[in-house]
Amino acid sequence: VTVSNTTDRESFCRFVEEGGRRLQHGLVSALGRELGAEAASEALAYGWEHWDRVGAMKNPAGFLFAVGRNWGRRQFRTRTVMFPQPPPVTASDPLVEPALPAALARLSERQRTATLLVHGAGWTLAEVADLLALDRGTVLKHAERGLAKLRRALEVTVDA
Amino acid sequence: MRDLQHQLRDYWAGITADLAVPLPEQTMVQRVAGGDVRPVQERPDRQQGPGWVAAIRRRRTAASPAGWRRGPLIALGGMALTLLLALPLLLVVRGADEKRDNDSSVATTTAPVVATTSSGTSTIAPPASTSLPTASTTTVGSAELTPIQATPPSMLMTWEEVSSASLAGGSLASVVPGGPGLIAVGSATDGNYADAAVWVSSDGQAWTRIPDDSNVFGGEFNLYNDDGDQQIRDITAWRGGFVAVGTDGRPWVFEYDAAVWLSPDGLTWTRVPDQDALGGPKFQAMNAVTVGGPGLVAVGEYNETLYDPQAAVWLSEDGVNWSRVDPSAIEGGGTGRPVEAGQASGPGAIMYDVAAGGPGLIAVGTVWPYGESRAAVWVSSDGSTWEQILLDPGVVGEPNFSTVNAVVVGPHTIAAVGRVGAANRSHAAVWTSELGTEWRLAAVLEVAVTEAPANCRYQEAANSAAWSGDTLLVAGTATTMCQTRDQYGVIWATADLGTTWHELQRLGIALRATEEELQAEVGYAMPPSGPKIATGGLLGLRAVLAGEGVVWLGEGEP
Repeated sequence: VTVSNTTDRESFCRFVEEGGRRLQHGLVSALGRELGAEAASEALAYGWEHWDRVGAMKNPAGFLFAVGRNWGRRQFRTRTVMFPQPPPVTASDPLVEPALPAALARLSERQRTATLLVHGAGWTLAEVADLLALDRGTVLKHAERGLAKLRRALEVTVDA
Repeated sequence: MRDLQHQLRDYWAGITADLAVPLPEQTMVQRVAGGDVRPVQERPDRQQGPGWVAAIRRRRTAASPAGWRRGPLIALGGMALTLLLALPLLLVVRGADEKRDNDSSVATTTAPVVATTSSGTSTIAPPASTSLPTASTTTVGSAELTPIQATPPSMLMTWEEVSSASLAGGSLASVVPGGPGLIAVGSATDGNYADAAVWVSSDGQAWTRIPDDSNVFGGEFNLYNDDGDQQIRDITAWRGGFVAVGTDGRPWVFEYDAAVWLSPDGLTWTRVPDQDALGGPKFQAMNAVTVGGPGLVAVGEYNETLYDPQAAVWLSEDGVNWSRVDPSAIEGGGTGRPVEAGQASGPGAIMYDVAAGGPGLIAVGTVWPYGESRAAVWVSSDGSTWEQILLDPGVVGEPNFSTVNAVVVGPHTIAAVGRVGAANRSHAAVWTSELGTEWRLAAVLEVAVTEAPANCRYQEAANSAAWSGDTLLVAGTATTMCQTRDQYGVIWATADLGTTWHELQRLGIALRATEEELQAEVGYAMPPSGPKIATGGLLGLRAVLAGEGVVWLGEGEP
């Protein structure tokens, strides 16, 4: 596909404006808040530098997610997946279980991504499946298993 | 403490609320950190890209500022390194593309050869003779496999695969004779959310989807601004019209209700209004419906929690107003109690199919004692109380995962079909009964697997069946999961009430998955999906099977 430079730039900016946040949230769910946000910026930089090829792909967001995820994995030698502690509302009845961030970090990457995006961010299975290049059934199973692991880790046995 | 899903929702909103949206201009301001900006010699036209791109390059340069002062040779080396780093990414993406391409292809090694014609239909050649199983008897656990005999010429059928634009994106769950000839029901997706869907055909070759009226086949929009998925799972003829049952809601968060649709002719449809009996705290599903009891009987599952389904029966006199049978009136229907600590599953139960026959009504499904699943039948005279019969699982002394997916009532025999076996190797199974109250395991059917590599799983299951006189056709799926997953449909038949069995055909419905995806599936039972059989005797057709966006037509003398 041959596009003019102006068209190229407009196309990329449109992609960032429409899908940048989704890419960022996908990577935050996979890599943690800080590392994921950085990975999103790295992935978008890579996307801009290679937009003539990336922009012509069927699923540029999925490709850039893989770029960012791989970049993030390379940081694991010196950094880890970390999620921030939620602010407690009251000591006796916190809004979010204080052990939740650590439990999230212990999930497998795919389970964490699927669980957070499906149950936390309210994405559809199809949206998560697109980003992870999986089928919807597999995403559902990752989300289900991730939720089950969290439930066990937090000793939650019943949903209200 | 609030429930976990609400906590996740709040936590996610909290940690992402102040994340800067990676819009070019905003990010540029945040990420400029000083240092020399790397000149983009090779792509001067790109230098005017979004400012935050330059900022990232600037940060990279600041980390190793000497690198860019060592002349073109180093720069070329850097480009080569970049290519080397990018190569695995390209291979990964290419592999993903190949996987997607393979998703739509037919099975390779033992699958039939499908030749597409210009009319959009395909004829299916029989599987290679070398892949057919031998007539030897082996055992799995203590279950004896049923020998598969060569198919006599009198039972040979010709199968044709039909696909058309109107079936694209469709998942066909059931087919019945009616309307202009045939009616197929299921769901169809536009790539995001699924709507309930109905297709009609006069000859089985050309299919037309009933227009997707969102008031009928869609759902109500929720706070996430989506209307969820709607799915029809079964249809039955009733009082000159049709009744279809299924689900409506958000399956990805396990929140959906049972749903009912009505049609006087198969062409025009209405949705039965939501009512308390069809809903509940988590998810409820009607899996099948039949004529019986006070008028209509639907069966499925009722979930108060995520992992402990209760077998559910709904009754209706007019198709519009439904009531759910008291769970205590369903023997062995599950307690609905939450999972106990340390247990993978609880004492749950699900009904997958129901038919009029035996003492009045016969429902089939699965119950979960801790650590395994058991094939089960429930019988009832009027639908208000149900007695449970656990079926012979064929395997003794090891965790067993048997289930019954469908039940069909013939002129002399009732047949229930499903699967038996262990978690990593299961086979299609057929149980038979004369009166519905006493059952025997009539056949354990295996698709030939000459080589069984370690760490592979083989799951075969019968999903549906139909009687044609005293000949029983059974349709199922055979799935081999090693490095990839190969899946295809299989049709077995018996003409002597279950004594002698033949494999009539294999149908290409190949799927492939990566090893990582397969690992994620370990421990999950195969869902009760796959080809469904509808018999009609329509225009010489003997059998119609429906699957994922495709229909198979079988002609011959089964």
